[in-house]
Amino acid sequence: MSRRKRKLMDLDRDIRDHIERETQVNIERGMPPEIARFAALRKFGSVRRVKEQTREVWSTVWLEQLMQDVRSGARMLRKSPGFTAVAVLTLALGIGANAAIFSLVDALYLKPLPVSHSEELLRIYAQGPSGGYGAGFSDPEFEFIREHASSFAEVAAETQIAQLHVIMRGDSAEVRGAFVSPNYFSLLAVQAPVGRTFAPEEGRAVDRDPVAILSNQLWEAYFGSNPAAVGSEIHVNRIPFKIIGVAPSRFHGDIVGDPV
Amino acid sequence: MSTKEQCERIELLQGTLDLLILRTLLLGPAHGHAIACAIEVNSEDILQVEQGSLYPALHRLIRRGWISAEEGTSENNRRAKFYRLTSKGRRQLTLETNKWDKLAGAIARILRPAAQEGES
Repeated sequence: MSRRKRKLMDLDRDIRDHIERETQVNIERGMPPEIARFAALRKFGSVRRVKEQTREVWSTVWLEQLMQDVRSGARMLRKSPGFTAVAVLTLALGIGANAAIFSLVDALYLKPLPVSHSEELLRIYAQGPSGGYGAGFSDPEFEFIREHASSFAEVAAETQIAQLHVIMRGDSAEVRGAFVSPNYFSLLAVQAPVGRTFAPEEGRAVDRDPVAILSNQLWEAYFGSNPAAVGSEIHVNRIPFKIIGVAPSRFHGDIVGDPV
Repeated sequence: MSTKEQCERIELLQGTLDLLILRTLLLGPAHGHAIACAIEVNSEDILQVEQGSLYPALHRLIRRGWISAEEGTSENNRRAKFYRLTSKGRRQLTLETNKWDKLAGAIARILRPAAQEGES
């Protein structure tokens, strides 16, 4: 039985005892028993209200004691500021680290890709000779899959995201990017807010000038979000690329160019 | 209860019931019903105490450490819970009694200046 329940039963018994005593006194004064009990109940007042008020006393006194504990705790902390500072710092660092990890996990795993119908997307992997997944496909393999995989509306290819050496407007920078097939953006139904995405023939012509799409962050950092960036030339790993568009701000992947 | 009786009886002021309970227990431990009877008799039936209101007050006093409760047997061997004044409660009673005397004196001086002027 809980402490509170026992206290309530105890109070019940005290109240019952009290009313019985008063009834007894009334009977001794010469009242008939039923009237004696009725008079005792009337003199006692509402039993329900008495119980409510007593319970209230229990909880408000509990609150008073809690406040006293909090106050004395605060006093102790003030007495040893060094310990307090270390404790607060530890808590702050712990909370900060957790918040940072959560926002990373949230961005990587919890938020859906900012594309329409992300639930219909599948990634195809090849199983390597050692049994591990992650081996890529060659160009002819990709073309073969694209032509024969009838379960898919469209198949696009991308290289692993890699560190690329890029020269933009005289500044050189190491940025992360990938090479993708021209249908990459149309498959994901991602539009370019500035410029355009890749055209189908831009992937096939080997001697054609390579083209690139900037991420929104890169566009903002190096071109000051100037729409004139579209049409200018950058060098990716020393090869000149023409910028044809900018990806939406929520779309990640720092630089995306078509296969050379 | 007749209307006349109701007019003559006075409801307790907020907080005064605690004081009356402490004063009653100064005479020795008592159970709830006995405390109620003592207050009634000693005030010559002028103070109107709803007997039930005694219980929240008793529990408040226990929590403040001014009284303690213990199981015992009353006259004719009946079980009863006895309330006893603690030394902390005794000090509180002295404090509260002084406060009450001051308050009552001050109110009386304000209400009866005419009588004093008449005397002088």
